[in-house]
Amino acid sequence: MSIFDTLSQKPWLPSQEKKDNLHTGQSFAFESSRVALICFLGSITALFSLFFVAYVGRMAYGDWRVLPEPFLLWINTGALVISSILFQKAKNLSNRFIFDNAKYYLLAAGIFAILFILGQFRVWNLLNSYGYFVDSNASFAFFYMLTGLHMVHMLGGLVVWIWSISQIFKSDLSYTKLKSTIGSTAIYWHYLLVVWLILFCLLIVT
Amino acid sequence: MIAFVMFLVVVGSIVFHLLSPWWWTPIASNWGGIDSILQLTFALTGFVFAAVIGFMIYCIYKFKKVPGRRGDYEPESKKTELTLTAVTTVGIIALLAPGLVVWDEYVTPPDNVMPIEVMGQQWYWSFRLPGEDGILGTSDARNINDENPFGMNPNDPNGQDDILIQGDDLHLLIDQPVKVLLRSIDVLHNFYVPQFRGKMDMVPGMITYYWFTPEKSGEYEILCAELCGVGHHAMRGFVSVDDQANYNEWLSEQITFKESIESASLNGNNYAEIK
Amino acid sequence: MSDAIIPEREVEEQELYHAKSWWTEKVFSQDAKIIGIQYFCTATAIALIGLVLSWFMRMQIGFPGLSIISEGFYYQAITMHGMIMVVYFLTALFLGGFGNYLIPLMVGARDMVFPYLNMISYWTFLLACLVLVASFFTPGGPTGAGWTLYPPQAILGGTPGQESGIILMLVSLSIFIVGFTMGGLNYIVTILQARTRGMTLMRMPLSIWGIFTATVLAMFAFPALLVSAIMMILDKTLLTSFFMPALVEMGEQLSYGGGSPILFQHLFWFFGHPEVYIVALPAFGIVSDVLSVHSRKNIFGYRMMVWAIVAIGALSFIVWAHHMYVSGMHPYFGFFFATTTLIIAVPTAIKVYNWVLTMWRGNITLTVPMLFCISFIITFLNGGLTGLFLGNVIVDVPLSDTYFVVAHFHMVMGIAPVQVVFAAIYHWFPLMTGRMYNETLGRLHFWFTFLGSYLIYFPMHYLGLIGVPRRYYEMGQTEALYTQSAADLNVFITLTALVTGFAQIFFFINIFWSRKYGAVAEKNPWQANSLEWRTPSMPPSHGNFGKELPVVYRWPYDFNVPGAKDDFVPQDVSNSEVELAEGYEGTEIKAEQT
Repeated sequence: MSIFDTLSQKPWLPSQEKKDNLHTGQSFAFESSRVALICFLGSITALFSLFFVAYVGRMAYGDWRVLPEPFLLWINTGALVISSILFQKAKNLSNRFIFDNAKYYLLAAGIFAILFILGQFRVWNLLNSYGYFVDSNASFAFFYMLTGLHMVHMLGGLVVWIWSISQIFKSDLSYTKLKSTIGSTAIYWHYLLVVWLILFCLLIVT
Repeated sequence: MIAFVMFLVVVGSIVFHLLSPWWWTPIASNWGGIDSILQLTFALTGFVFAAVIGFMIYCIYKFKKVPGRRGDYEPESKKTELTLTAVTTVGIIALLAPGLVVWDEYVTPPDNVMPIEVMGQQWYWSFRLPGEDGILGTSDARNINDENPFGMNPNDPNGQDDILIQGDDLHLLIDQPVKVLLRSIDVLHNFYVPQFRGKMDMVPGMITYYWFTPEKSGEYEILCAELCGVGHHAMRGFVSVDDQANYNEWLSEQITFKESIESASLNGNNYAEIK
Repeated sequence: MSDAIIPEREVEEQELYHAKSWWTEKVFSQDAKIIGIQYFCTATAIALIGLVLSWFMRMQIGFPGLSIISEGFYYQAITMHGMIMVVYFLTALFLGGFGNYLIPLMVGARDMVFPYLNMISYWTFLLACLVLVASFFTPGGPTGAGWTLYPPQAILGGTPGQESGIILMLVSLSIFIVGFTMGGLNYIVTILQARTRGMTLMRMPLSIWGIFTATVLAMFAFPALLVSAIMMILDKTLLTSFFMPALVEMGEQLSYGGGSPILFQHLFWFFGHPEVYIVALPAFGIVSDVLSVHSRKNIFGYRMMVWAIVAIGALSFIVWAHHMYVSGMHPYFGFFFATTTLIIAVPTAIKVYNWVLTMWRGNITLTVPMLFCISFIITFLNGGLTGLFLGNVIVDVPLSDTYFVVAHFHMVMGIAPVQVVFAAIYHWFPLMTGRMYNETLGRLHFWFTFLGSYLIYFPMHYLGLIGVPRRYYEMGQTEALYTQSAADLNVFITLTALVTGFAQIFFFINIFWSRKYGAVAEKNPWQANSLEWRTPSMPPSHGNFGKELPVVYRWPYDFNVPGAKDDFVPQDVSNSEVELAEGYEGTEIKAEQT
């Protein structure tokens, strides 16, 4: 039922009252934490979109210089892709409550994400050693800022990952909570991968 | 009692408006169109204010709670709502349409404008006239130093005859349209003369503009209209609108860029004193 | 027949958190009602700081000869006053305060869906406030760049706060945004997922619609502020040039170059305009409910009211550059934004008509909440109408950056929503404390506040008309422009402001005295319909509704229903339970409605 249909109802009419009395009080069939994640992703989308708009707008100025792309960036991207794949596997297993296997996938997914972050720091060091500093040029500044912001979000995700790891290796797990957390975190991971891919494309193309 | 007080508030507001000694300054430029739209907006909004609050006062008075009486049950009335929406839309269009027409004129300077650069910095005004060739020379903030406070490009021949007025009053020729090219070398400022009605921010790194035709001679105060630091309120100046004779006299007293460079190299850096 | 069996929930009722110690019950509480009150208290405390700052400003404006404060402090005062009032007071109060208290109660939930996150969100807000106030005590003092924090001036010499103030401001805002995202997730998800059985979206009171839409706006608008804050922090600390063009500061060439100050303005106002609706929409919603109860009449045009709230929310994202008409942005933007801005006036006007039409043929009692609703309508109408001046791009040209703008936004953001805050607090006071407020003090407070605020800001528009610019420490010797009569008007405004500000003491005395010693209120003293009045006790205890959650059978505006004996039918009363009026022919209420 679209938002237009909903807002066109006349709740005071007895005929509408009969229909409304059948409503159980929820707008969506999935659980609250999933709804919350979607809202949160909406916010993050607004954040990165605005940065991207600023980036594209700034590119038009004459003093834009192109940043070299260390090959390490491609390796980091690979690590993030693998991390997402592993996380998805962990999610699929958790959905079927097969936590014994899921825990290894979960662990591996996090390790690859950590490798990604370490790799990104290494890229920063490399660029700095070549003399591409954050305040030298707008395009460099954007690069450092956007990759930094992406990393901050990854770190946030890792905090949740640490919680999941601590739970999944216990003997008395809370099945539904763990399944739901791993599911949501996997979605978050894939989302950050998409953000990174868009960012990476923007950085390469310009 | 409350209905009566509200009634006084509405009536009082209207009376205040009609009797107010605080009215916009007498216009000295061609932008009388803005004043007209302002009048129109006052009339329309004044009417709406009086009508809606008047209706509310009536409701408060007439529908006071009385034991035994019941209110109506009317969840909605499509007809009323559509009518009100339509009337409001018409009112909005009545304000917007003339407004956009005048805005179009504001952003489209005529061909016979004289360009004048207004340069703002913390916390005074400087001006640059195009001189005999009618063209302003190019400039860059990076050229600014003590000898070259306007940052003029020394290689640009058009700039040689530009007239520089640093930290002093501007004079304009009456009935000559001017396009003010607004430039700042440090922070945001805004060149505003209430009697001319126009204003626009001055943004470092770009040139903004507006245009007007001074139509009344006199001396008018310049007010900076964008917070620019602790001296914002003190960033003042004056614009004089002169007839041809007085304007020529004033013009002949001003120095050009070429002259300023020559005197600086002769006298060694005496621009440091002018601040 | 009429009452079909309402299905059981598909998802189990969430287990309610029970506090185990005094700390987790009273201080680090996860109960939304207590968190709401914590938000109220903190927001009010910081608002009082903002109020005192405004007194300093007004003393300087009214009596410039006394030089009560320095230029630097004046600009710091206007900056902190503005930021505190808009963000830390109004946003926090409406969303954090009223949102937390009202949402679970009005939708029939026991608490928010993420109580722990809710608790963290409050303490994050408190941290943001403390970081902001800390800037008064750090070297250089707070920033004096204006609440709009425009670069380049915000991070250059000549503007106070360069040593630490601007950084603390930006950091504080970032912390605030993080906290508000946490709170916002709670409000949205609770409203979407934790409503009680029978509570469809269109059976929610307008207060909830207002708060809900405002929260959605916040989730999309605050990121824009975060973007500009991050970029400005980098410009200041790492000397990047996101917003900084090549410039010469006091004779010295700086290393910046290539940046755009206008980019900041676009980002800031992309946040800033929705922000004012984040404050206004909850006010719209709440005033609709309070007005309806005290007029004993359904809110007129409920559907249109919901539509208008949603439309205003959506449109608020495409009007931002009306704050930038004279910024130097491309002139063609002026055409677009003037049009969208004047379009947004239409749903807003519809709301005003509907409020007044709610009173038409109602049965009005002029209680203190009702008085404040009436004053809201007058002041909001006044402020909204002056917005039509400023929204029309060419009329904004002479008026921009003058006292006309100051008068407009104070009227429409400061005075009008605050009337709603008072109306709401008086209205829900019996619910929150179980006692009635003192009537005399309430009326006294009302008259001082309404008349005082109107007398402060209505004449101020005319100062703007004569061209008096805003953010001026003093007008100086400008007889032609700033006549003696204008200076006298400023004296009048200053004195009225001081008196009105002090008169708020009546409110505080009333609140603190009445919660202990006020007359004990009867259950549902206003005979309202919405669920928050249907709790077993006033104030509601932890868990809100006792053993069983209510089940909803109608919308919250069934006042004077044809056929009903009482002039109100609460939401959780089914048709079969309604006592019919004597002589009524139908077997059920609303029989003739289709």
